[in-house]
Amino acid sequence: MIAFLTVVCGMLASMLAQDFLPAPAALGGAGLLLFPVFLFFGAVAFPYPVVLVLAFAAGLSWDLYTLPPVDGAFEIRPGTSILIYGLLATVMHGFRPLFLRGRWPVHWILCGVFTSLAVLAEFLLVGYARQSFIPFTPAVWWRILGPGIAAAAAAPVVFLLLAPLLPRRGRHPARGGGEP
Amino acid sequence: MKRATFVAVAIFLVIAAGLLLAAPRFAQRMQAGFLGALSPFLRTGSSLQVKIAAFTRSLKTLQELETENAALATENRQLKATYQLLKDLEAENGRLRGALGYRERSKFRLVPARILSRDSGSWWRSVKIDRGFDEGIESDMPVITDQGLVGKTTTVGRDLSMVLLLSDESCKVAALVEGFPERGIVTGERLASQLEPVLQLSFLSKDAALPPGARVLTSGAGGVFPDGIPIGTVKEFQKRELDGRATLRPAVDLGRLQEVFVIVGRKQ
Repeated sequence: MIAFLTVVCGMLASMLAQDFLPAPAALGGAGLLLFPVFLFFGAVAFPYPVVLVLAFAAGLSWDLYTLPPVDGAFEIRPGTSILIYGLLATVMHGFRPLFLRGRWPVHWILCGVFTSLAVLAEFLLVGYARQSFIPFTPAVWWRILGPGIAAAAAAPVVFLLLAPLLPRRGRHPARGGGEP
Repeated sequence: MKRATFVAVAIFLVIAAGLLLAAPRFAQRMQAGFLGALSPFLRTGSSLQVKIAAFTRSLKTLQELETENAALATENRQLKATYQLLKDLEAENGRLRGALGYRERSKFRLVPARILSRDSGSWWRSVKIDRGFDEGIESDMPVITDQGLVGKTTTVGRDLSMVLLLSDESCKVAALVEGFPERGIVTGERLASQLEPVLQLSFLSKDAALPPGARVLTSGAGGVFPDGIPIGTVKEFQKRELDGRATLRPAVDLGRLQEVFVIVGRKQ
């Protein structure tokens, strides 16, 4: 329970904090997305129904926090990110056995890949909503890959800080077995 | 699939679908409530950011003093640090005086607001300001500085509002070019840089041939933005197959905004 609440608080706090962090020039001016790292940690640390609750909270908060309504309407409906993050968290949950065996570097890389996939999904949705797709120039790639690189870099810190909060048998089922 | 998992997935999908199908008004009200709940945290974050920036500046000043004036006495260093602090205060004072003067001179009723945070998303350009419906702010109100147009309000909470910046692709402003019979629509770019965004003025005539530096102002068409507010200056004109398009340099430094005004009406 403590681990779950910490992940939720971390997710919300990082969502706010990333707005105060400047876009690093080294990442082509792409913004930093840190909250998905907390979600993806939760996706491998908790049982699947809890993962869905986390994905729901992450997707809804992100949409309500960032989507600007234009002329009284949203170009992407709030709630869309629930499905995007729900899907990505489900795939991430598939790597839970590796997490339980302590093979965390795989998850750190996946955090980056899935964060970039979420940004790519937003890019495609914006293009669809505005009926105009812009070509995949290097600037677009940086906007998509930059947040992923930042998320992959932040993942080890988040995993190492949050893992001790998990019940011991949840981290190593071979020693105590099963779900936390 | 376990029964519990199946039930969890079903509930997840039903609630997500319910939200997706909700009316935009309901979603906007939910957004206003959510932003209102986050408002204290954003305010704390914003003031922390200001303090950290001031601390970093003072560290830099000390470091520079150490390298440049190694021979100077401690008292001299303290005097220079005090001078730096006073200079910062003077700059802030000047900026606020300018803003206050503009507020008094303006023909509009203006609500001053401070930028709390900037959107970190990749495809949208918006900021959050520390004023909301308690101050009479509503959706779709123009946001300006003494230099020109900044954008418009979207979702408005009790003491916090979201402002869609001019540099966002979905913010469209009817505009005219001062001294030319040209009218068009100004929009931002999907890949707008946070620090140095550029704007596009589209639907100009093919032969407009606008010179660099020509001023672009709001035309007042559309009803959201009053006429005569500076938007930017022409950087480059491009002749296209059917029309002309100009790239604009924004009148306001959108990357370094600190204080803005929301136009809540005209003075009597």
